Amino acid sequence: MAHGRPVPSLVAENIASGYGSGLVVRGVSLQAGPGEIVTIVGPNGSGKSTLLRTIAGLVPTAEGRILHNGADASRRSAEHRARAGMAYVPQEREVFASLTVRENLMMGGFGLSRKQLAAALERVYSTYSILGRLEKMYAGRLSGGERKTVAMARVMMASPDVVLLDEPTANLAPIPTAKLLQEDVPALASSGVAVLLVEQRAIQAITVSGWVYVLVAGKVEVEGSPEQIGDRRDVGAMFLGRGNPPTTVVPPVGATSE
Amino acid sequence: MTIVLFGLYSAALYAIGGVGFTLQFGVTNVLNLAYGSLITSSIFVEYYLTGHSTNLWLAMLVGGAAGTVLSFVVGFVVVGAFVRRGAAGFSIAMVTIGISLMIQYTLEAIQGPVVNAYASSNRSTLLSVAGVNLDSQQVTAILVAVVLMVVVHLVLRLTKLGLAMRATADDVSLTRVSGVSPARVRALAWLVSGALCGVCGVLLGIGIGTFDAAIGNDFFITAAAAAIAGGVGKPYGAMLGALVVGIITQASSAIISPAFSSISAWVLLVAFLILRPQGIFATYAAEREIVA
Ligand SMILES: Nc1ncnc2c1ncn2[C@@H]1O[C@H](COP(=O)(O)OP(=O)(O)OP(=O)(O)O)[C@@H](O)[C@H]1O
Ligand SMILES: [Mg+2]
Repeated sequence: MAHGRPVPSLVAENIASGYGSGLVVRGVSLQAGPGEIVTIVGPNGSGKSTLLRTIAGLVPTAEGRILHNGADASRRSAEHRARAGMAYVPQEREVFASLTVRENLMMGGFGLSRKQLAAALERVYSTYSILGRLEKMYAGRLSGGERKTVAMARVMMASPDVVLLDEPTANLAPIPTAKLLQEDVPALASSGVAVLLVEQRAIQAITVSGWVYVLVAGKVEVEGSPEQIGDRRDVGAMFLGRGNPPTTVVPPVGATSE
Repeated sequence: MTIVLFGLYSAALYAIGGVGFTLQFGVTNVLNLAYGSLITSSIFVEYYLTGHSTNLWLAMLVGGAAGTVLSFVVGFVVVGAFVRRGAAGFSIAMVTIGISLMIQYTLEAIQGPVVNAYASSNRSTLLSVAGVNLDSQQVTAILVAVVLMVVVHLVLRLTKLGLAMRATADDVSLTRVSGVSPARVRALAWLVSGALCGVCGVLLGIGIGTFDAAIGNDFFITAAAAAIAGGVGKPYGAMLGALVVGIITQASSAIISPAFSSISAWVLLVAFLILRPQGIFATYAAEREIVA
């Protein structure tokens, strides 16, 4: 099922994880490669956030392996994975509220030398033009959209090669949502980053994706290219767009796993 | 005026102790109720190690070093072992109470039945304002407090360590995914707050001139009141809180009776907890954006 997908920089092999003794993620395999936008969709509580937290290292991997650029990261700490180039923007509390915007960016570039830090700041300031105006403000006082931008800019400081985004458009108005999904995320991917995106706005996200996984009750129920996913009426009706299934009425085609 | 001047001196000690306590709590999230007995331990170490020296600079060096080491051992090694096993909140506070009692009884055993006293040095009056005499020891304490507060401020605002501490206090997970190890930051927070605790201890012990194994406890209540007044975990709040608490406790002992000063600290503590658990300066701090 290669479908012209890039050589993966991030691979999850059959991973299981959860909180305490209960498993939330149960045997998930997925991959993402440089330049690729990979979207995970699924109903509320299906374990999407838990899956991203597991990959980022904030929830321990109970079973399976996580490979980052070929190296087994499953037993590595979250901070180690971050230093190895894995970036993660959580669904909530995505910025340091008590730090200024500039300090948030400096946290993103914590491991950089003074010179590299200056260069990285310049780079993200030119990518996200609103940052210059906000730099002295405390991140806790920003609007939802501004916060998401700061969170994106923060993870870009360290020039990661894998970026995990958990519902970056939650609570965003339509225009910033469109900007984020149609401009910022694709720009990130075309700079060579592997983007693993969890989204509730499934249809909008799938449109810009290279590959889609549908997660239901902690398992990958369906995976495929956007065309394949869009063509499946069952997936559309069950998981996409929250009661707004895609209007395509084409019979199911193509590869699905399991 | 008298009250303000003596209040300033008390405030200096509360500021050092309170900022150490609040910094420790903010970064490590451990409510360290053994802080008072660490203050006491620092005095004991200084007293026995330097042969009762009242040389403040030597005392601050020795006491500060003692506080640093003890705080690291108690906080990072012992309490840290419980935290790493998943204990949190109330059970951690209980652990620190246990440690506090162990330290206090050990010190009582060392001290024996006598009261430890520093030889009264010839404390010359250095500053005389409006009929109030502050001796050189007191003036030094005030200056040391000011310098330490400025240093704490600069470290928090301008250094990478300060940034990492504030980030850890804000959000541990986000700190980790930024590639910063909170364990290392916490270790440094135990060291720095321990140094403040030790310096505060020797200034207190030498300032009073006599001490026993419980000296740190009363003081800790008042310093904690200062920290709570400023909003726990907020160093700038603790500095302001120390001023308010210092002046109020001096006022109560001057106006009512000296015996009332530690009672008033308790009253203040309870009042703050009931009325403004987020700190009396919460709105001010938020408005001025000085939350650290
Ligand atoms: N910190 C936690 N401790 C215990 N259980 C948790 C925790 N976080 C999530 N869960 C549980 O794990 C399950 C999956 O939650 P998760 O947040 O991963 O789902 P999600 O797919 O991201 O949902 P949403 O679409 O609402 O964001 C839920 O049943 C939830 O109650
Ligand atoms: Mg989620």
